[in-house]
Amino acid sequence: MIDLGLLVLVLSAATAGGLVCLRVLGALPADEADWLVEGVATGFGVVATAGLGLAAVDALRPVPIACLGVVVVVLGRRLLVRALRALDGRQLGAAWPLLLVCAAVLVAETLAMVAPPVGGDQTKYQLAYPRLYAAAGGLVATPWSFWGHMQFLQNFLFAIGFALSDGALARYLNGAFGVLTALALGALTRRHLGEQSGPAAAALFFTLPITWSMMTHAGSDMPVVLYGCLALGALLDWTETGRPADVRRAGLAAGLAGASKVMGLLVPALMGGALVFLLLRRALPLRRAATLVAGFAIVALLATTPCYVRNAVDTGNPIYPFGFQVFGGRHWSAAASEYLADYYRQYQSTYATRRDGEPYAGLAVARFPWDLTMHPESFENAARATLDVSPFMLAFAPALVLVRRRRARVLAVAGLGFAYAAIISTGAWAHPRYVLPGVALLLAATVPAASLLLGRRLAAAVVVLTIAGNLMLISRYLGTMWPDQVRVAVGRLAPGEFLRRYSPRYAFWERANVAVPPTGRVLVLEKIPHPYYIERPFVLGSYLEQGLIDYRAIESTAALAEAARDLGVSHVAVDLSSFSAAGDPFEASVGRLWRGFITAECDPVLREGEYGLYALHAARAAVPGAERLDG
Amino acid sequence: MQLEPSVSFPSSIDEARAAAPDSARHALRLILGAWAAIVYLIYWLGYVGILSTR
Repeated sequence: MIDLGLLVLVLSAATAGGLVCLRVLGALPADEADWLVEGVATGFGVVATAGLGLAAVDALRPVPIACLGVVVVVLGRRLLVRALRALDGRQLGAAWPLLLVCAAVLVAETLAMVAPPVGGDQTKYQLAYPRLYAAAGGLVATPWSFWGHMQFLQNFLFAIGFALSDGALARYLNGAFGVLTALALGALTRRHLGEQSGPAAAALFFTLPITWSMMTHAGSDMPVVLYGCLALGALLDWTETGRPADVRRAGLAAGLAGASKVMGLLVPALMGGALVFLLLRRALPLRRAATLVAGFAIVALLATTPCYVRNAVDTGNPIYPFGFQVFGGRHWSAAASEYLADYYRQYQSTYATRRDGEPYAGLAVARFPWDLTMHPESFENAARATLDVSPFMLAFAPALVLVRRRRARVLAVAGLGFAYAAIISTGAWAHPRYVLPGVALLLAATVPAASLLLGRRLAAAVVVLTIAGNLMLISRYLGTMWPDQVRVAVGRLAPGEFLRRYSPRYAFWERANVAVPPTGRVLVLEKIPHPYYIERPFVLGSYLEQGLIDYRAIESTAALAEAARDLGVSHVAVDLSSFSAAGDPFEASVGRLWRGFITAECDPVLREGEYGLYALHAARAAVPGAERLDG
Repeated sequence: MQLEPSVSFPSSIDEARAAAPDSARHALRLILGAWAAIVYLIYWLGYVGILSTR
């Protein structure tokens, strides 16, 4: 309950801050009824940027955060009150049953968020590093893994959450992105594609199994969907009103999408291209057109850059470790890039066998929409229902040809959604989560198309059936971990016991955290470490996410021991299964090196499942230079 | 000689013009509806394991 109270405070401060930001930029929406969602979403960007700033000056602590919160609430209180007063429940009309269904789903999701995180990338980096920063009160140098530089907008929002509470607050904030996205998608659809289609589009998106999965597992893809929807909505607003404020708001939202992850940079690129296209078609005077483009670009650039600047300062590469050929980057190499790319190719090949296929090459990517719908489990280690996007989009996308009313807008939304998904799936990785911004826009555009094809009543029935199907698939989750998550939420199961049941890593680290003294430092030897549960200072020694420790330059167990001692390591935690891993010659050589290192340089301390803890021989005290190289 | 104005020929053309798009639109709707039905059918059959869509 305390975390829910904190969530309300953070949301209030974020909304006030977001509305102040929009006012300062002269980018508030014309209709005050739209202020709340725009304010919260922009406010999350403001809070995250403040979080990065506070972390950079080692002030990521409750008092400075509370002071900032008070300041923005004082500054934005009138705007906040106006935004709240503008809400009108009567506008819901016949949509209240859909709202009730979504509210029930949200309650179920919130209960799942209360329990500690298990699975996915959240314990690897999405929550692990924000929690580390919050515990240290500032940024922590983690040059031994690139995931410390995969920290973007939402991660610094999570860091604020962890600084205020080590409970569920950060996970609630992640869930809030899902709620905002559904509202933004509904508003975009209602305003520009069809008055009646908005609630259906929002409910179809909110009840998608992939949405449940992303709301209950912290990540970076949902913010891109949110800001993409807001950017396109603002751009379409401008086509109606001609207000430069709408263009600036489009730039701000597009910039925040770019600030959420590297792939999100495609949003400002596409929206900027769409703006230029519209300006050329309208043949505006050059000076006025240039002012609009500059307004869009400057705001987008300001919103996008903070995390990339941090990466550039730390590593010399704003998109570290990507783009090594162009930007270079400390503690990285062309060989490391190639090995990582090989790993991801191998990963794609492994799961593509679930559809009896291979990673897409050339025109084969045209199969992706079908596989996305029918075999979403063939893109990563997940059950089909986890990444399901429902059949609605694939079924009704062809019906877009029937659309006559608001045709240009419907086709623009569908076209930009398709362009996003096509560019990501051909240029980066055809993966359900990565193309979700495009899927959401296509889903919204197909709602009026389905209505035209089937007639309003039959289309409404199909929407209801689709939502019922989505809920049925979501209920598959409820049979596995969810009952225990609810027990944790109501206090009938201790979080530790919950983690012991579902996370072998936690079972190990629970004992290892006790065995390693607070002054010790653990070197973690694992291909893909998930450091969320580590409570002692640590250094990651992966050969895949290498960073500082480069196994191409370490040829003997003594050299590895020396490198570890130089980092102040006292203990070594090992994934014992890695000794026999031999997916490629490099992996096999590292496995042999680790085995030899443990045998020759360490003494066993404890073993739990597939993990072992060892004490490094003749460990020295931490060297001063390594003091902040860990958690 | 004054010719009787022909009304039937042009009107039959008009009817043909009107009828062709109607039937084409109807066919298009049928095809789009069938596609949607097939997608939903294969999607759910895939879930219940009756039909492999691979």
